[in-house]
Order: sequence, then C-alpha cells, then structure tokens
Amino acid sequence: MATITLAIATIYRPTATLSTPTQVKQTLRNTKYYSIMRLLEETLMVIETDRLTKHYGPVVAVDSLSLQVPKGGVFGLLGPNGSGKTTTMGMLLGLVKPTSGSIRLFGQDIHGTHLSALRRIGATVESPAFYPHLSGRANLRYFQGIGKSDGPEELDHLLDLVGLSQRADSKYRTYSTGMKQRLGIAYTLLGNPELVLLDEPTNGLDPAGIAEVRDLTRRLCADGRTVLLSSHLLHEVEQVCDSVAILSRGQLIAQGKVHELLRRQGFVRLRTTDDTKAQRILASLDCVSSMREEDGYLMIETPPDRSGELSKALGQQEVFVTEMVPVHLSLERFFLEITGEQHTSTSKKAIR
Amino acid sequence: MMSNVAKLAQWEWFKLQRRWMPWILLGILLLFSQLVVWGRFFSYNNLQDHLQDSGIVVPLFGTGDPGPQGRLQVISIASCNVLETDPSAILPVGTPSKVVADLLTRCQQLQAQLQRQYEGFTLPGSLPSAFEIARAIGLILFAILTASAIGSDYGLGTLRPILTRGVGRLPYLAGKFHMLIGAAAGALIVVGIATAVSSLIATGITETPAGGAAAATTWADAGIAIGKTWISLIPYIALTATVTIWMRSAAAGMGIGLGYYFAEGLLTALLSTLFDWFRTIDDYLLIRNIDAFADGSLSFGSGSINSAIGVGQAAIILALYTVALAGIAIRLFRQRDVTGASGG
Repeated sequence: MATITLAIATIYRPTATLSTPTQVKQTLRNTKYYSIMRLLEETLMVIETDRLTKHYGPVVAVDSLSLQVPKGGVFGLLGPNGSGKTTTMGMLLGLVKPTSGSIRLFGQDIHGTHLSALRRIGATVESPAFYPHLSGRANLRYFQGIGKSDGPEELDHLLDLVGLSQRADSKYRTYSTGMKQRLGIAYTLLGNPELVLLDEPTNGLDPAGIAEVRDLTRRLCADGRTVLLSSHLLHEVEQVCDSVAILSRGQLIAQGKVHELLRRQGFVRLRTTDDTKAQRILASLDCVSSMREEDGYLMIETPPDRSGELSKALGQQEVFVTEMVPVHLSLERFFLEITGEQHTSTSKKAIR
Repeated sequence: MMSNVAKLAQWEWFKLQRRWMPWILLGILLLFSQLVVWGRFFSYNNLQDHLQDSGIVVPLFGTGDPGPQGRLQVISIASCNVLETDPSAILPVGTPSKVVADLLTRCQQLQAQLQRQYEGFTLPGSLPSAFEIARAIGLILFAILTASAIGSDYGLGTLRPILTRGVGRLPYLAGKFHMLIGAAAGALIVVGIATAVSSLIATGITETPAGGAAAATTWADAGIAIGKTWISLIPYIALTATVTIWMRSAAAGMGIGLGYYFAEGLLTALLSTLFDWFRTIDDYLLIRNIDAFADGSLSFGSGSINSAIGVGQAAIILALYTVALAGIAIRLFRQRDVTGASGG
C-alpha cells in the first residue's frame, strides 16, 4: 500500500480544478501515467460502477448505482427482494444491458472488452442451472470446455472441494437442492477466476451446508481472490463479509466496511430521572438522528463514540442518567433500520 | 472466431449426444427412409411374382384359334424374349402381327416397370428416393431438434451460465447453428449408409429383372441428392431457430416450426383459390422453394409443386431466407437481456 501511495503522490499534482476522484482519474488518463493509473485501478478495485441504471419500461430496477468493490476479501451485496441485486449482477456479467451508466471490471471499462473480463470471473446468478440429463461431472466438463480448459484434474479438485466426488457421475436431475448449490459453487470456480460472484449461495442448504459454504467462501478469498456475495441471510453475511453495499429499490443506500457501518450506526438505551424532558433536550442535539420509547427505555440513535455528549447535555439541564447501555447493532438490525427508514422516507442517511 | 465456433459446436454435440431425443429422431428418419427402399423391394417382388404366376393376358380375337382359355392367351413375362424372336413358339399360328406387336409393347412396358422398381431399391438408384423421404421427414424432425437444442437453454436457464463463461453471444449462436447443420449432414450420411446396406441386402436376395437394371440414376445423381437434401434443411433450421429465440421457448419453436410446414401448403391452396394475386406470392414461400430446390413433391398439402420455380431461383430464395432469418435471430439474441429459466 505504501508503494501505491507513493506512486499516486508522484504522479498526481493536485490542482484547484480537480475536486472529485473521477476528475482526478480522468486527468491522469490523459497523461503519460495512464498505464500506471490503470495498474493502480486494477490493483485497488475489481468492480466499479458509475451511475449504473436499468429501466424495465417504467420500472427503475437499478437507479444510478455507483458501486466500488475492492480487490480481495468478501463483499456483500444486500437488499430486500426486488432491490436490484440480481439485475446489478446481470449487468456486471453482460447478461443485462444497462440503460445508462458505466461498468469497470479489473480497472477497465467493459464496453467492448466484456468477454476478456468475463474469463476472469466465475459467477452463479440466482439459482444454479445445469443440464438435468448430464452428470455433475459432465456438466462441469461442458462448462469447462466452452470456457478456458484446464483439464480433468481441475474437475476432480473442484468436485472434491465442494464434497461432490461421490455423486459426481450421477445425473444432475437426481441431486438434492444442497448438491445443486454445491455444483453451482464448483462451476463458479472453474478456470480459477480472480473474481467470484455468488448469488444467494446458501439457498436451500441446511445449517451444516450453510456453515460449509461460509467456510468455503472464506477459503476462496484467502489467496487474493475477490468474492461478491449476494444474500438475504444477514447473519451469515456479517460473519463472512469484509465490506457490504446495501440496495433498496434499486438505489445504493449504504456502502463500506461492515465494522465501520455498524460503528457509525448505533443506538443507546437510556433511562433518566425525567424521560420527557430528556427527549426534549436530546432532540436538539446534532448527534441524535432519531429516538423512540421501547420497553420503558429511550432508544437514542447516535454514533456510539458520541454517547458522552448525551449525558453531558442532559446533566447541564439537570436531567440525570440512571442507566445508559450502548446497543451494538447486528448487520441484520442495521439493515432493517436503514431500509425501514428508506421505506418510510422520514430521513435519508448518507452513511458513506 | 472460427476455431471458437467449431469448439462450441463440438461441445454442443457433447450435450446433445447424451440425450435420447436426437437418437429417437434419427431412428424415425432411418425408419422412413428404409421403408421406401424395402417398400420398393416388396413391390418389385410382388409384381414379378404376379407376372410369373398369372402372366400377361393376351386377347386373341380374330385369330381363328381361341386358345386353351377360350379367346384369351396368358403368357409368362419370361416368354417376352422368346416372343421377340419366335412368336409362333408361344402364340397360336396365324396370330395377327398387330396382336404380336401390341404384345411386344406390353412386354417392354412391364420390363421397364420392373427395371424401375428394381432400381428403386438397388444402388445407386435407392439413394435419391431415400433422401427425398429424408428431406420431407427431416424438415419436421430437425424443427423439433432445433427448437429443443436452442430452447432448452431458455427453459433450463442454462443460457446464463454459458454466457457468463465469456463465450460471447454470436459465437454461441453460431456454434448452435454449426452443430445443427453438422448433425443434419451426419444424419443424412447415416441414412445413406443404411440405405446402401439395405440395398445390398435387397439386391442379394432378389433376381435381376429381364433386361437388367435400369441405369437412369448415376452415383453423381445420388451425390447431388444428398447435397440438395442437406441444403434444403438449412433454411428450415434457421426458421425454427429464429422462432425459438424470438419466443424464448422450445415449445413455441417446435409448434411454429411444425405448424408452418403443414400450414403453408394448406393456406397456399386456400388463398390461391380466393385471390389470384396470391399465386405470385406462392412462388416465394419457404416450403414451396425447398421442394422446388430438391425437385420433390412430398410436402403436405403442396399443390402445384415445381410448376414455375427453377432450381436456381429456388436456391437464391432459400439463401435469402437463411440469411434473413439468421440475421433476425442474431439481432434478437444479441440485443435482449438474458433472464432466468423460463421453464419451456
């Protein structure tokens, strides 16, 4: 990282006109440092979208999505049904044509070079789809054959990795849902891709299967691979993902590292000597986003590191705190909080 | 690009050969084509047996000798050669020369009929007959195969994992076309081999007709027949593929592919009687030109086949159909978003 910082410092001489990262990048592209710029971009971000939009007639499936997926680690794409996750994945993979906006994969605009980028990606969108009359091995052999071919030993390794070696030669139509999901994961790993896109990979799996997929996902990114994971099982996502993006109604409403998002969004459970007066005082504070009564407590939405300001403000008005407990949000709670707000449109947060 | 398409075609065949459907369709194709060969074999033998048993009935009016069966004389087909050199050895003395001449003509006609039937199940004459049937049945069977091969990727949702392998939409489609066209060629070669085997067996177990086999069909004719049959399947494959891609459904592709085959002849017959101007359009319709190109008349409901369309004109029209339909299929396939499994 120090080398990259040095390189940026060397080639980038800021001027007053360059105010956004996009402008900086554009300026660099026009210089002799373009190749260095491309290398840096490819090193830092595997997926970048800029105001990516998809309309289906009057329905806006994805609305000006600017997504940035860093290289390495597991990135979670979260959102309720119909939030645009699968459409976004489809656009990244060239299956769905964007109405507007741009996509950059591995630092390169995919317009015209989509196929070369796709050869570096392994993806399963929605449920795995294979040929029922072929065995699991024959299905993988077919998909291996039409892409870049790595030989039969790769198939043996992948089937072993996902625990399908024993049933590899059975027809796909005889597979259970869990086995189909495993074969889907083996398919995504064909050709040793640098970027893996998994859409709801734990669908239909039992708890043991979910744990296996979670372990497998962690192992996938151990050797520098990037995994983009879409899931509605937020507890699972929280355990696996380093960063997340949250979509709601086609819009990106939060993006960042999981621990940073959870740190920014927090609640304090509070009991005071005069709760009515306390509500009045706290409502005037900048650090308080919202508050409500819950089980005889005041639930104050505020960043956990600013909870001291609450007791200070209350104390100055002679309202004394009798109980203050920081509530650590799970990703699931965080998700429900911000998507719930989005739906009721009381206030839109910028948590970036 | 071409090597990529060839590779994709090879992998399409990898999938297809593991299904029952292509083999069942090939079986049906073989059955019908061999029925023609063996049908002619049995027809020939029946005629020969009939002629040997009952012979040719000769009316002997005015000969002065009514003969052993009253006023009729029955002679064997085997006696025709004798009749030419020494009529008195077979016919009563004093048989008028006109009766002898008529009898000779009748003998020659029957011999020619036998020779034609014999040629129909012996090589190389059996091959064009088998390919003619193969074309008529093949249009239906390849409509089913094409719709299934292309539509199954929509129905199963496998189009997405294929395209996310970095295959490219145009190479994918080109690979499918190549595989289907190759399969058509392969099926016709199998029909040709099966016909040759059947012909050799049939020839071995039957007698050559008097005067030998007719030599109307040459090996070159047989080669042209297989080529024409193969080419005439291509525009129909393109039609079914285009409908399947347009409707994103194997069932729709099969339905329209099969329906058109029967509907064209029926609608043509109906509309031509109602509207005079339709007779000019009629000459540019697909099945009619396929029949004209292959010089056959086996399609269902066809009326005045080959009456006005030359082979050259038909070839041009079929080429235009193929290019136009393939162009539409490619355009639709490249422009549309790829969604999940459609189920059918």
